[in-house]
Amino acid sequence: MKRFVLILGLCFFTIFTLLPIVLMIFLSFSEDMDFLLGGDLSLTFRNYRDILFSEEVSFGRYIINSLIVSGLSACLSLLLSLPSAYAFSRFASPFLSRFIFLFLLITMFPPISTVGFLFQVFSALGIINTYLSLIVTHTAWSLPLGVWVMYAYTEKIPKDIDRSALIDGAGLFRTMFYIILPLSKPALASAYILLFLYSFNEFLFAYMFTVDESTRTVPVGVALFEGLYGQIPWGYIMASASLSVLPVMIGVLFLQKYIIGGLTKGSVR
Amino acid sequence: MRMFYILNLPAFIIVSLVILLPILGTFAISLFRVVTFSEPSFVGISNYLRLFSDEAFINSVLFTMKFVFFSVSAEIFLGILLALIINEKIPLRGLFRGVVLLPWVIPSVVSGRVWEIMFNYSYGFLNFIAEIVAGLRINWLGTELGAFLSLVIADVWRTVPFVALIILAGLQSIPDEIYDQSKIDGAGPLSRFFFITLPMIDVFILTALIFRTVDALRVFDIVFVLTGGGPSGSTTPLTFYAYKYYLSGDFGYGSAVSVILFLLTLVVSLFLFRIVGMR
Repeated sequence: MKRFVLILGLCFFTIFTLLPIVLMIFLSFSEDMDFLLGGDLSLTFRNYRDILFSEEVSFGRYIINSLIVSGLSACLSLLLSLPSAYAFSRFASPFLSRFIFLFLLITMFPPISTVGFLFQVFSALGIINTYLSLIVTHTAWSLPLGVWVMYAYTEKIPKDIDRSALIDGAGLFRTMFYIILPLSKPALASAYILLFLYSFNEFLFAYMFTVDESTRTVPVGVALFEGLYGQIPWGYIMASASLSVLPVMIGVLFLQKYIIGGLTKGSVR
Repeated sequence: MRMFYILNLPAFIIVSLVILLPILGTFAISLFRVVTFSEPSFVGISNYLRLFSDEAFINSVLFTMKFVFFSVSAEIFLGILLALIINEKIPLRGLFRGVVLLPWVIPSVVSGRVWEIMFNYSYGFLNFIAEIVAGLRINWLGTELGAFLSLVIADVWRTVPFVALIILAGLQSIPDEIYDQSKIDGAGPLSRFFFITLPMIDVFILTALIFRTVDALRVFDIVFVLTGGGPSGSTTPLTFYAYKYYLSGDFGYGSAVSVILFLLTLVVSLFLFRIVGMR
């Protein structure tokens, strides 16, 4: 009885999860939509070739933009969150340690509440439609997540290790970078993946602060496809959607442990 | 002590400049009449007064609440089920955990696109099935109820894995001995779930509830892709309503909507945090 219910649940979640993804990949390889109306299915690589290499669709450019923005903002965010995480794990009084919840609270704010002002400021500074505007916002919004994940890990590193380094006269920043940093490699990996994913998936800022293909990121490209043509180019949309999911899917299947580890250690006490 | 402040300075500065200051700034803008090509003029709270007589705004508030209620309830329910399944010793558990995690890590815009093709009237996969099974086609995205359900389903698909992960952490914190003891005492699987499992993971469920509620309150991406706020504005959450005014250049009014959303989020999250704190 229990086995039966379990198998039923397994089937339900597998189908529910995979059906849309399989359909997406299928459509990205099909010439047209005819087979969904009872026609024949013809497979092709044309959609991928077109979106990556043709003149009119600059999806290749979007991928490069996304990699630059996500790569840099995840780096910056990690770099900035490390001192905070270290401070919370070593120098916080019981009262101050509560403030880590404030970090968490901040990520819950609706980003739209900052867009009105940021857009005006960025326009005035002339950095609308630059990588800078996206890197700055993505770094700030992913920072609390970075602090949270790194704090959960650095707190577990025995405090005697860095205390003795400090006593030996290593200095605070050398202790942090030469002792704590190498020790927290696994946490750095999972934190980096999570921060990268946040920036790679982020849409609102990426959409509001970009104007043309020179800075648009992957999600913006995927969302705006139909504006370019009269008829909705499903093949292109699904090919670009599949491409944007590919690195993430590979990453998750291989690094599932890191991500689950990083999250369960981080978000739940 | 001083170290604490020095080390936190970099994070504090960037979070203040990019998140906290803009929230205050948005509040300031909401007190002005800002229209493209003219000088901003101070109008006090008149943008807020305008909100109360704006029927579309009221509808947007109602839609947001309805959306949060239905999607979050479904997510918590399915999330508990999924967590119970992936906590069992099933074959290929690692692979299955990886697979069910997928919807949560793919870009939300992409999940919107994928569900757009699922719900599409003529090509949609769901209508493909509906035609075979019942011989009819459902206008998912063109009717108010259909569009609402589409958004809820797409959002549930995307976020159930997240809820399941948090609850899984809770399930793993329950020591096995408790179950062994209750089995000896003759408790069935259902009573074990309701009287042992559920009370022991309530904090985890509440945590998932907080995260999901505040996140559903600011839903934007899937609405942008899937329904565009329609049909006839019936699926316009507050974020999307504010965005529409930003787009038309009316930053004052859009900011007022954003401020209301911010206050709503703040009140809801503080309220939920309090409940967790009482546990």
